[in-house]
Amino acid sequence: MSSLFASVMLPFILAPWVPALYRKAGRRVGFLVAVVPVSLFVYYLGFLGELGSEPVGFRLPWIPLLGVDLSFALDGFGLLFALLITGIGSLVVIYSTYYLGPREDLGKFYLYILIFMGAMLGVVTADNIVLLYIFWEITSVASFLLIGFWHTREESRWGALKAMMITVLGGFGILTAAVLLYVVGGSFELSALMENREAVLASPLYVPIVLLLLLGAFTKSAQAPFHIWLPGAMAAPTPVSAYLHSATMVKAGIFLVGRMAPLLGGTPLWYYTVSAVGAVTVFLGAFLAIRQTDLKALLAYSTVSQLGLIMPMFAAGTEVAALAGAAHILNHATFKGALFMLVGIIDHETHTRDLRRLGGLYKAMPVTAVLTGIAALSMAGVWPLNGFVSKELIFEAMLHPPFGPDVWTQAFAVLAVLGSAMTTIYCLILAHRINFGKPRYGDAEHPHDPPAGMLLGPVLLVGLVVLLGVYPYIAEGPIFNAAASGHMREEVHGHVHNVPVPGMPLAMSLIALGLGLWGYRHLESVRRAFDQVRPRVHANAVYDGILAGLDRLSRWMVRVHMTGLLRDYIAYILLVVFLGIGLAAAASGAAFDLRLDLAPMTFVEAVVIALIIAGAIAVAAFRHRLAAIVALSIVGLMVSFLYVQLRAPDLALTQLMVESISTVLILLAVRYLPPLPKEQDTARRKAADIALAAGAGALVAFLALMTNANRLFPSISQYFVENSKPLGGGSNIVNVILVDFRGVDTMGEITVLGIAALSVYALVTLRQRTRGRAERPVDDPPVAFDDPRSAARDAREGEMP
Amino acid sequence: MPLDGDVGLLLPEIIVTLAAVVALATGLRPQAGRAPAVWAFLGVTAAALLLLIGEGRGQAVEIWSGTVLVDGFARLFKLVFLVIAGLTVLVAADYVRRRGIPPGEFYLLLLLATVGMMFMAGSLNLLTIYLGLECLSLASYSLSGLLRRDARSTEAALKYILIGAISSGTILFGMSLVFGATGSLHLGEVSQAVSSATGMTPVLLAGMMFLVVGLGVKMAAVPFHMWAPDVYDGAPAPVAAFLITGSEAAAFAAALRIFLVGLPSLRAEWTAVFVTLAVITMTFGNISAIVQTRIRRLLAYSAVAQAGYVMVGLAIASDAAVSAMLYYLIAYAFTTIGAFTVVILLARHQPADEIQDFRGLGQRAPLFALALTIFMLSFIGIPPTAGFFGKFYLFQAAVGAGMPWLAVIMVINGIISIPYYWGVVRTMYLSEAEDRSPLEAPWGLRWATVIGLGATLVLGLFPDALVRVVNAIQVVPGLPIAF
Repeated sequence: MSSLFASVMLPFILAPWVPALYRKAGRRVGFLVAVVPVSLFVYYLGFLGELGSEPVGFRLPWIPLLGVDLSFALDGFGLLFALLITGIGSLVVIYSTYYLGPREDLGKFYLYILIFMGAMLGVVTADNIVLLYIFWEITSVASFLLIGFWHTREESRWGALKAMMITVLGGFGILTAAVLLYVVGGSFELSALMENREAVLASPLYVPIVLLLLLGAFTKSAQAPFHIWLPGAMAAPTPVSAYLHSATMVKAGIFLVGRMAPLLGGTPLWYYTVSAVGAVTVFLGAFLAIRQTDLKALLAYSTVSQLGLIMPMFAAGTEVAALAGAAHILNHATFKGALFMLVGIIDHETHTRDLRRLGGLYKAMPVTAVLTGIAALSMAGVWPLNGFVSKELIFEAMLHPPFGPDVWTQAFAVLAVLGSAMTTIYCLILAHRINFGKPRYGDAEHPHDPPAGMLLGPVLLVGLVVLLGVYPYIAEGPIFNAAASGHMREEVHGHVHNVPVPGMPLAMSLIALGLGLWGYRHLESVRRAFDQVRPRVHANAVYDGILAGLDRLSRWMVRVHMTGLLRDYIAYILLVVFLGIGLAAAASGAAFDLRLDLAPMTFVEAVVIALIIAGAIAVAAFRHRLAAIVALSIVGLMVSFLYVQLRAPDLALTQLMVESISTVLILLAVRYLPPLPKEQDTARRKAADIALAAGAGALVAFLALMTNANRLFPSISQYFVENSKPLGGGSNIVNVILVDFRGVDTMGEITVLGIAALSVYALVTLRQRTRGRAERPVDDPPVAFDDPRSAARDAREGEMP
Repeated sequence: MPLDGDVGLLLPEIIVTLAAVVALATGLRPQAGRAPAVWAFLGVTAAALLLLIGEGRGQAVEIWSGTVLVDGFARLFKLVFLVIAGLTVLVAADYVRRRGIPPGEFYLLLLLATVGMMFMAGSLNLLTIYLGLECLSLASYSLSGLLRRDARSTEAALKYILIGAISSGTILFGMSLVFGATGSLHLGEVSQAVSSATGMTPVLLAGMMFLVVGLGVKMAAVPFHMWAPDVYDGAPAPVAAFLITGSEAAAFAAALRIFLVGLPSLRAEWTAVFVTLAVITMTFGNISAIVQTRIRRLLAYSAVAQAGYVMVGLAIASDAAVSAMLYYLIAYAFTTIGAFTVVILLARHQPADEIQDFRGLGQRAPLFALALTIFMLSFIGIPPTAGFFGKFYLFQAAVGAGMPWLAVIMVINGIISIPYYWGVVRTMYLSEAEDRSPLEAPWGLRWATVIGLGATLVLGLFPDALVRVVNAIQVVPGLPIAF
């Protein structure tokens, strides 16, 4: 099935050409772009009735060494999503041609939309978890770009980061789960993993795998407490909200749960986690929706709530639940997609989305009002619309939980009914409150129904709402059962019905509708009561708290470790050396054996060494630079003297020369240095410095002794003594070594000296040439490393204004 | 110096050195124009081509009494260094002219630093590695301070030289201790001597630790990274890009050779040390980056964090981990240079050191903004970018080596890094610019961006070719050690 692969890749391949096309075709580009989703929709329609639990697949090696292949598989479950992605995609592409103003860059807009579409198709057809994850993240990025397409407001900045943080957090969860699954099941391929289900279930990693994977699903599908990103994402243009944030992307989490259920599901952990989160989300989403005054925010929370209703259906593992989930995915996409587009129309015509400024729209824009009413009533679950059909199934599924009814499942059902009652309230707001009553048209004088092209999407979707409500049997076999089969990985033959059947589910529906109606009649008091609820802990505060905490931690960390003082930095380095050696020695448990084989010390040597030590201490202790330099010279001189004492006159001479030159150089440099800063150290700091210095000295002394004890080969001097006359022809061994045995080295050294001399000459002449011109001032004062100003700047730079 | 027929194997190094000298010479004329840059670029390209198509591929040859080794590992790293140097020349051409940096000196130092890196990866002899390191270090100190009128640049050079001196001293001390304990500077012989030596373990451990610390400074691992924010922020921007990518990669190359070839019998010890350092490094780097307001300081801390990820590979040191490390280093080099190119582009027109200056870049330079977005995604490790596969590869290696907790720490770090990387993207797209004039890019910057972006995407979309290459690389060359 290479056509399947091509269908996923097509949007990606065509996307980069859209901006160029826009430059040629102008605003009609939308209709040209629409060809892509429409033809893909037709392509996927061709699978209807043919696909069930058995997938068609395609596989292309990609990174075989890492176990990641381009493997795709389409079954009835994926097909349902693919149809939604391409179908609603087509409508949205056409709708946005009218919706977006003439100044918007449609080229960029459709580029992002196509990339999103391809990624979404990839998610629902991928058979490799890593591949799925890759597409998954591309949808997050596309979502960001589409949100950022429009807005430069502060709140959308906040929302955009939040959406990214939360969805990427979930994405990393999936990736981690994938790698753990690889460890347990030996593959990233879903089909291969299914074979190893027993091993996965028995593994100790099963619990982390499930939790990480669900983290991904919950974040993407905006389940509590991760729902906070979705309202922020509503800053996007309305077509984008309709497409990504209600119909497709947010359902990716549901898809993931449905896809992984045959592998990871069937356990209480799986079922109860998903059901509990879903039930809380249904309730919370509906509750928050009622508190909104912005129509889009209301729809956003309503989406949260509805997703919470669907998610547990794919965790139960029963036939009726699978069927209910499949049906409600389609139904929710139809009525919610329509509602978003209709709210977009209202916003477009009245320039407001504020509920309090809208009313009596039926008089001004009757078509819009009727469509809004039908879609909203369907969401409330009113007979004979499609929302009623799937809600009945959902309640029925909730009454037959896989592990038998217990207090938990009853609680889930109660939450669902209460959530549905609140759903009825806000649906009535959409269906009744803004359409009837006193005319309030926001900022517009005479709003009217939009052009036909803009109504096309809502009309088609509301048409489906009615059709699937009146005659759901048309979709029962090819769509609902096929999707349920694909999810269950076995053939499902369930039944939907649109006739109210007396029983518990109908009773639950009626309770929800009745409660909702009552609540709507007392809307103001309900709102007031809801507004009283101000929980101390809520998800947004936690999110903000975490970010603020990170910020504080960061500030503190930079302040503490970037002191700008060289001495601190050296202290860190030395500490690591000590700790590292200690750690490594402890790890290896090495016993050391100090084979001391030392010559006795003469009195003179002892005196010299005492002087060296005294000099070194004096260097550190003197508060005056000149005195410190003198003390340093004493150390150098005494070392030279020690060489003399040990009968190495050449070494002594070299040392003496180096000493003299460096002392002169230091003295020359001193006049450029600022005075030493005043002593500010605490006694503790001093003690720490002394301890570090003593430790470093002890370590080096110990190492020197250790190494000295290790004689790996005989001294080379014997060789020179024996061979200098016969091979080198000279009796002065040093001379022979320099010009003969190491002749090449000597030549190299001479060359270096020559080049250095040339450079010195060049510098001197340069100096003479520039002296003629004006004496250049020192443009910057030299930066002193231990200068407290520099330290202050270091600390300051780590801070934000 | 014994010269023999093997000199051909060092032709790339020789070409780069000659190009450096020519660049210096052409830069001496007052109206040097583009000549030094062109010569430098030609030299680097010729050397790279020679490595790609020259003879002797697929073998490991040790020449000059074991002081130089040419094998697949060395070739790959040399190629990486040359590509980094070439991209730096592209990025720098315009910058050097505008900021009045003497071009001859700039390209000379740049190429000499590159030669230093090449020797660090191309030897099993501690002394050669050290000489390469010094060649790199001395050139980098001078490069950092080339903006002589800029106090930040001067301060950067000074800090770098002071901490760099400590690093060099430490490495040298470590090498002498290893020599003292084993009697050889050749890593192959060191390894044999270590396995037979008894009683010398404390000295060797100390030597190992000093080497870890010294190389850690070059990798900018925490807590030896104090120079990094100042240098990457204050040095000329192309130099910063070069050092973050090249110098760090060279340090890792040397570390791989030293620890895997020379000290495999101390594996338990250095693994413990590197794991600890890796965790500290990535966590400190990422957390410190959050509050940075200057873009290059942010990238500097990001570089610290990325070094932590790479170090995970060094700590695990399995075959898969080493391959992952190589992949990561290469992916990261392209992404970093690309990101720096956008930074340099913006700073061309106005003083633009603050992240705030990126406001509205999405409108002013849409393609560059999109490129930077993709680079940031690559830094975070989000597909379909090179950075994602680098992290994924490392991740799998960590889990495969039985250290899933290390993988989890990497993931948590990935999440911590989102606010600061994504903050830049957000600023570009969701904030209005005060100055809305479109940005003009000289061709060098444009090409560097295109190459960086292309590589970041290609390595993200078609990673297989490079995965195969790095998978075939052997750190321990299969050559007889007999002399």
